[in-house]
Amino acid sequence: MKNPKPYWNPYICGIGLGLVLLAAFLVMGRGIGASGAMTSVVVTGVHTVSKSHAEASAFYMGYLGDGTIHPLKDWLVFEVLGVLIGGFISGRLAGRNKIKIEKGPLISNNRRFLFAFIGGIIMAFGTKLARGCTSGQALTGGAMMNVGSWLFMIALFVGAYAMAGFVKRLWI
Amino acid sequence: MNDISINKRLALIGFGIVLAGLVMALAFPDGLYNVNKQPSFIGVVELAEKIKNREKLNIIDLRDGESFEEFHIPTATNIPLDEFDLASIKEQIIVYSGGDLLTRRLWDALPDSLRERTVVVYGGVNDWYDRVLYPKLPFGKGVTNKRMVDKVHNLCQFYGGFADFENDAALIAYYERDLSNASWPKVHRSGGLIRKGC
Amino acid sequence: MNGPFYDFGWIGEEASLAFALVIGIAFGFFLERAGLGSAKKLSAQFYLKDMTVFKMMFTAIITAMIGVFWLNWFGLLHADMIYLTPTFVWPQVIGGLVFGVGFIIGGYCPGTSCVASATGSLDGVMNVAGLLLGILVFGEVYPWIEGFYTAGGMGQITFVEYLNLPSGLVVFMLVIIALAGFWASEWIESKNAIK
Repeated sequence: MKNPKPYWNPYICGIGLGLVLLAAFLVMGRGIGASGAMTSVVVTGVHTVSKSHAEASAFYMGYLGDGTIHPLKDWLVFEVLGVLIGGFISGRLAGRNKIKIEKGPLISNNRRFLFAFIGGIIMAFGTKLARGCTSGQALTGGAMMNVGSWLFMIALFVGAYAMAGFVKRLWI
Repeated sequence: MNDISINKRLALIGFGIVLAGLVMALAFPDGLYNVNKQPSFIGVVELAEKIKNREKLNIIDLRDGESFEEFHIPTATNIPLDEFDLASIKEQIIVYSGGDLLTRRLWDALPDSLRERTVVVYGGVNDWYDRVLYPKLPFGKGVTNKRMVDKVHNLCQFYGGFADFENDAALIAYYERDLSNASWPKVHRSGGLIRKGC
Repeated sequence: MNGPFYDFGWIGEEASLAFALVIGIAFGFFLERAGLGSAKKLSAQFYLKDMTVFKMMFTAIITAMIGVFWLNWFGLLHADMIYLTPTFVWPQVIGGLVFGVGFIIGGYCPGTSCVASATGSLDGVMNVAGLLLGILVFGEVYPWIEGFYTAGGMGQITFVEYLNLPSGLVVFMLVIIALAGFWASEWIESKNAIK
């Protein structure tokens, strides 16, 4: 296996990402997102298991809509499918696609899985509370100069830097 | 070393673009073609009073014939946006559509001289339906502007509608809004697949 | 013809879903290109070793911000019609803190965990699984936290309206802040590299 190619200049990638975001604004009048699609998947699952339970909750109903359209036929779901494809293409072109586990040198694979899972649960709570993730809130709202998005972004960096010292063993 | 100079060049270009933007924004706050210029709005209640008093108005419905047949504001004439002839605007006109999307498209196409003669119904036929014909009005002790409530209620009965009374004093806020400096109400294409927000 | 095209009805439902796929592919491509599909690179941001996350995020934000400003100024895009997530101060601040904590423990954010999964990182797959479970748990406890979820509501508001300044000036100030941040992050990176 040949060595993967180096990453691109982050500013160039940032400009590219900014233009993608701008295209979404211009064509759709909305930004990009990721956590919304995951919520659609979860809500569809809940709706399949127990219809009455899903329809009793205001939170689930917000993603189910009026029931005429399948909840997975949603703009964000298609967008996240695209993210998976785009990530795969880029990884393939740069020779970075292989089964691997990203972790610090001091931690075992199982512990890394456990922490990735726990981190995901905590993060899901944060995104749903804040009504968006780094893509839906920080990028989209940040570009629109949305007050709440900038608050979220600042709080995100504060939270992560404050926690970073405690979980140093995970990464260094 | 070469990489650093690319970054600096990008920063310089970005700074130049945004500096030009600052200058332009201060020189022409409404944009090159006055895209941000707001029309003069008329509220649905004020419009309802004028129609009731038999004032001579030139109200134009920009929607297609089918929607017009289904429901429209009394005394309005139907000119779908596609058939709208800008040269036909001789005197002051009052335009409305379903949401505000058709009205907005017309407004974008109008030259400045015709914009002065154009008044837009705030919220269009949707607000007429929700705020004049079938309004939700407040009752109870918290209501300060009793005259406004009565006025809307009378208009609602005059046009054959039906008012709902709820114990929520905040419901009056819509009717007390000053529209002289208002900007376009937030409307989005509805009924589609696209759920906005994350 | 002005934007947003979808809101004005110039693009249909099916076309917009196809467009979503294209946008997503480009989004995922640029995330992976910059290395944001790697948990090590993402977490290095918070140990001040590698500022890629900050650099890329803010470059994207100011690029789109300047783009919206100019398109709006040339009359091609009605910026006020773009959907804004409503501001709810307390849930968004607390949500941001919680998100930050989850970010550094899990090593990914929702978008980058998808990219990581696509490039074969097993921990990325675990992170996505955690996210899905977390959303389910949130949905189940939602009735109890509904009061907090809607605390401090300010509606859909931007800095332009909040500060009541011309939009060009606000964009200019935010770009200056971002450029200062880029300069600082280059300085931090060079300092940590020498050690």
